[in-house]
Amino acid sequence: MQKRRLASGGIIDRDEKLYFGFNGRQYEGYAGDSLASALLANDLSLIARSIRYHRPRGILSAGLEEPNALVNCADQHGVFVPNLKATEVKLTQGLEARSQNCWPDVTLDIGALLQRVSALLSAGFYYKTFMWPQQWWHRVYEKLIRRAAGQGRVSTGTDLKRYDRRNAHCDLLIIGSGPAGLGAALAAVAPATNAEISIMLLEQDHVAGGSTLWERCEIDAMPARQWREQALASLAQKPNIRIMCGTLAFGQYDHGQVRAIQRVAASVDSISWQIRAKRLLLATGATENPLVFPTNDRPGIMLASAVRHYIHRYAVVPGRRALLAITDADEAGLTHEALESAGIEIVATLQPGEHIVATYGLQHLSAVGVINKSGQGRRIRCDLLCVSAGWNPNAQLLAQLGAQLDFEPSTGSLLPPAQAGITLTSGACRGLSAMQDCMLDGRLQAQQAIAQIKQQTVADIELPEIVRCASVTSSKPVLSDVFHDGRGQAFVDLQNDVTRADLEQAVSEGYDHVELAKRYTTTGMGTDQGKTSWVNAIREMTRITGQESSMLGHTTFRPPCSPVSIGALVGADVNRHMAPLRQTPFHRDFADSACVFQTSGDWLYSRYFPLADESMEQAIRREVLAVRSTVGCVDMSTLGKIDIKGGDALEFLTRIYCNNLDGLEQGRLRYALMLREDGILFDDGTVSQLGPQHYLVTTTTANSAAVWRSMNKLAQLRWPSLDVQLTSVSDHWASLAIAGPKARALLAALNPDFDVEREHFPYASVRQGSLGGIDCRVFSVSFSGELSYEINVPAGFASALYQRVLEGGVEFGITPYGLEALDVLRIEKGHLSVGSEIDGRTTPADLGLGKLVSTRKAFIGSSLLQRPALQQAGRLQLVGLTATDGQSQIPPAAHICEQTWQPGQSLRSQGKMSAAVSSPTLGYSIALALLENGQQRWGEKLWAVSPLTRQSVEVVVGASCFIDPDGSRVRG
Amino acid sequence: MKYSAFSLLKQALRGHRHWPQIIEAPTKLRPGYDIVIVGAGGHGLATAFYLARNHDLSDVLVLDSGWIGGGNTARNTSIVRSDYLLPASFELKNFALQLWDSLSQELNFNLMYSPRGYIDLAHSDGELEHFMLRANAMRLGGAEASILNRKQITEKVPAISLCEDARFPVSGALFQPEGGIVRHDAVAWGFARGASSSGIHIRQNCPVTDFDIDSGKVTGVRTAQGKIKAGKVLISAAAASSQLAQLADISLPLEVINVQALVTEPVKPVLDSVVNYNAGLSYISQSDKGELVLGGATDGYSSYARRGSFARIEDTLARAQQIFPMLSNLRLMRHWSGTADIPMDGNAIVGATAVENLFINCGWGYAGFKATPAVGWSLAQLLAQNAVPDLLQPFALERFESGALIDDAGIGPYPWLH
Repeated sequence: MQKRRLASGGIIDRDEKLYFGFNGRQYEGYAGDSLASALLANDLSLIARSIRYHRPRGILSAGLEEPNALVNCADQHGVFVPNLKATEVKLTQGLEARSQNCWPDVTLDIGALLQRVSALLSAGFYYKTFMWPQQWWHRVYEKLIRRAAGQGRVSTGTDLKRYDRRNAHCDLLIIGSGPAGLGAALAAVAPATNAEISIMLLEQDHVAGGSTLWERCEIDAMPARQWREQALASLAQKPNIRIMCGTLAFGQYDHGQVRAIQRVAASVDSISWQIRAKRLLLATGATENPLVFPTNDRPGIMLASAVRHYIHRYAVVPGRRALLAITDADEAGLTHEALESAGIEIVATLQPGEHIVATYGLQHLSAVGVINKSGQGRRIRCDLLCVSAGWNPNAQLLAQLGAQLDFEPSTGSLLPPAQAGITLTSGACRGLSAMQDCMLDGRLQAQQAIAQIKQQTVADIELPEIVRCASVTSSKPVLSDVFHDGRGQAFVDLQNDVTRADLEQAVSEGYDHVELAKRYTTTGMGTDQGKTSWVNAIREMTRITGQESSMLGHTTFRPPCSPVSIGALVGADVNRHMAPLRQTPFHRDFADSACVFQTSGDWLYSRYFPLADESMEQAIRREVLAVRSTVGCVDMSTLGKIDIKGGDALEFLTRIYCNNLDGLEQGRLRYALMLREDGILFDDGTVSQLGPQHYLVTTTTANSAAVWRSMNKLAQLRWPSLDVQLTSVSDHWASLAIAGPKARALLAALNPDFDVEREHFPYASVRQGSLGGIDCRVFSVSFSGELSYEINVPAGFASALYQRVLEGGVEFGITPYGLEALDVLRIEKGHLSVGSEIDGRTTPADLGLGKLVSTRKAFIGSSLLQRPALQQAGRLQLVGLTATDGQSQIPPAAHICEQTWQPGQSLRSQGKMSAAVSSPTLGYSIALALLENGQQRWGEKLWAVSPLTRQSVEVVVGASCFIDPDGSRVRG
Repeated sequence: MKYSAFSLLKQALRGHRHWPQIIEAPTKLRPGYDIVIVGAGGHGLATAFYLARNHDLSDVLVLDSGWIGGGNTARNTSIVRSDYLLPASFELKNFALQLWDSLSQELNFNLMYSPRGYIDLAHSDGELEHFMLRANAMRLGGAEASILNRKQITEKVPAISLCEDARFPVSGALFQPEGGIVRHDAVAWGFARGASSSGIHIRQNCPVTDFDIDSGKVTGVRTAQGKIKAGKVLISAAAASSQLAQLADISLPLEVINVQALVTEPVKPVLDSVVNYNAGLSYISQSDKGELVLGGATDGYSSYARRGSFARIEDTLARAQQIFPMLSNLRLMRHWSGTADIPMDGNAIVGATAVENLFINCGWGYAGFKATPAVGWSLAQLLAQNAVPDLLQPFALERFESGALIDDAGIGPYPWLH
């Protein structure tokens, strides 16, 4: 039984009943209803409680501007989404909605007691108190305030909805399908010469038509609703226009990009659209401003346009006895007709000079107190108060890009220009009100937009003149002013409970700039984005400050123009789908070898290869010892590999790497360092010469993209005259290093077609050939400090290579090892790692590599490297540390200090450890550290201090290379 | 008038009509001042406040082209913390944290300093080891810091999802209990009120158009409202600092980069700490009003537009949703952009310039808000005593010439990457 539903009329499907729940009780509505219209049809007008004072609130509007009727709604999977406006929720079968910000329920809300102390909760009260005792703000007051603030409750349930993301391009994007939008669309598709123009039309409502759905006016001498049907039928015939309803265009971004969310009922919940258009035509209509008078917030007080909306579109009777307080005579007439058609008694219409000074009613409006010019008051019994203080264009999408809107005092509107950049405005969105005018304006602006689009290809086209907004026909307020004093709070911002008194107080306290007043009072900062409050706030500020409204300006409009679901924006980019996780070509084989992987950044690494029952520590130890004693193999595929060719390839490399590359010959390679422009070490790797004008460089894994970018930038922008071609081959080669004293024997066992003996394939060389028929490049380089060959094969042969290495290595006890063991090996050898020693603050000299820096050439970073502070004493330099007692474990991540640390003590750090490990090879704990003047301090005893673990271990400073300092092992 | 529960009650009874203005608007500016500060943001106003409080100097004028706190004081993470490895960065921010602790009482203005704890998530064991290095540095420097394991993280942040096979798994976190948030706008208002009550003049909507420089020495500023003589001038104008310095023929090694942030619709308390996660280059906290505040990396390009690309917002949201799946059930309410002035080592430029008596404070990038009271305190010392305090020594402009860089992130001369 829908008590407040008219027997006939409306654009609802009375054959399809929809059952829905509100605060635990079941109700029925019809297909075509919004949640708000269904609630009203069931005579439910108390929907929510306000944020600060917990005042009873109903439904003010019929659209996205709704400040009051916020509800929690369950999605189809039962997960509740907070803060939805009842006016924006389409009624669906089984919908569950709940009031929010009230306890125990919306009718008996305990929080309403706060109204008793509302005088204390004035603008910014929290800045003036809650300061004593000092620690109580965080411990006590903030907790209470946080609990009272907020609105709905976020559900921690998993969002099971499905989302999609799409892109589109079009010539003309029309936003809004009211008279102006449809008028524009008809004009854009009409001439046959426009057949090539692609047009999209977005409508946020789930039905196209805008105000034609609920306003009883005429367009082209026929009822608006009939005109709408004809227009849509005609547009449906045209192949070059796409109309999307339920699609909210929420933001405009640079370069003609519009973002929109389309709500669809089919297989996905919504689609996030990115649309680029040559011209954007805003036909987004206008929002009606409420009147500001004492206690202007009771359920039953409704925007006049919303009253017409509910009557004509939904056949709902929002009240029985109505009082009209509408500034514009035409609008008052339309409202009058609507009320009469619904059989609602009109008890009074406010006349010029009359003011509302009070309203009455506990949970719904029961009477209104009015005074006339001569100050005589009367109380009028009514349950519906239709208010309007004029209209404000919905120009957010234009203003988001920085366009200033002009405040028009006579109508109280922020008017956008007819065009700014690629955006044109039309209809109510630029201040027009009569439907016929809006339709004609849409037509003209569409013609203008199309002409501009065509002009991009046809030079001599004549642009129609942009018609100046002939008249802002929404006439002047009839009531002498929008605001009136009286007893009780007069709300300017209904959602954030900001009153006139708050604004007055803010200005009188010196927060007299709109931006300051906004922040101090929180006006316009609610989920309604201030749609019904901003204009009234500006009017009020104008009155209080006595400034011209044009001087006040407005605050910056920020997207989205109405809140949009984060789930829909993120779409399918969830969990592992968010960013690709890279696996090396050996991944599947490693998995078969019981490898434990670890995610780090872009990559899934092979961490270690445990045998049955082995712990990570045991496995690492075994792997390290195998490499030091026989042979192991490790995946090096993640290193960046850049192929460089061209007559100037060597010159290019010479300018980039700080090393001297002069003597490099074909078949040889060099360890090389690359600096940043500021002289700081950027990356290390190898440079190999593969052919006469052909080089291959490797980069660290971490910097592989950065080095690639940097080299390309240099080649293309700084030295475009050099003959050099760069190709990233990182993914083309699988790279497996075999390392250990038996590495050469293992390499020989792989059937190379080249000589692997030491004198023919010495350390720091590269060979290209085949290993038992697999094309390969083999580099004799070592990160572990053992004799080592990095075998590169085309990525597709990774598995074959690995299997052959395992088979060929059986007799040597081949041991696959992971990056943990590799890290231990490199620390024992004192080799550098990006992020640890190469930390973005060290120079080559700091790391003991000063002798590699050429003094005979200019290279990237060479001049800034000469800066005095990069040379002088006191810099952090790489050293090795061992415990003085030869047995203590050096704590990881320790700092190097003169003495031990006691809790509560401040102690100067002279250096920091970059790596620490218990060396399986040496049998004791070793560490690398960056220590002030470290290279001059070998033999000195200091303390490795870790307050986190309360450890202080005495250490002795020494060389950073703990294993094979003269390098005989790497040469095998 | 002192703010208190008592004065609030008294004013409430009188209809809140008799509160004094937070700034005594000077009806007329004096022809000259000992010190003119260009930029009425947090830093400029804090400097003015401490000039009066610590050095008894009140012949000071603070100018701004717009409204007080309208630049980066209005657009920042609102996070305060001191978890830095490099001593120069740590010491200044840790001094700031000590000041934040009692600043509401000092200013008699509730800045809502909420030491709710700062949690920085590590996504690998290697990253966690680096965090341990930082935590150790903090403890050696006298600050509290600890490392949380996954269980401890979940206890502190129940809304977090620490799924083992997440795209960016979490291996632990650095925790600074004194870290938290401060109501950012209030900082500008509180310092402005404090400075103004000492007789310091603050003039809004008064852009500086030029400097008067006489034989290498600044003698005054030209403004839209006329010429003002000045003994000393401090430029403290964040993203506008480059253009202002240019007027004095000083070019600054910094770029102005777009940085975006966003808020969700307000909800009841669901997150009690500040959480930072490098996999998203992102932070999240919940304001006292209930909005979840998030931000991410820079947009990667220079811009003064204060608006950015939506792709960055989507990326920030996607990364945040990895860690906080509940975000999917919330709606994006507003996103915006600020302009971060970022020097070539990502750290601030504070101190003297080649022009005598002209001082500069800029280049704070992301880090300016949390440092506000310490910067104001130290700059006041610099202006009053003509000697660079120890805390500011490392931040001198000359360091780009000498090479004594303070590169916290180790990223180098690429401001958009900091």
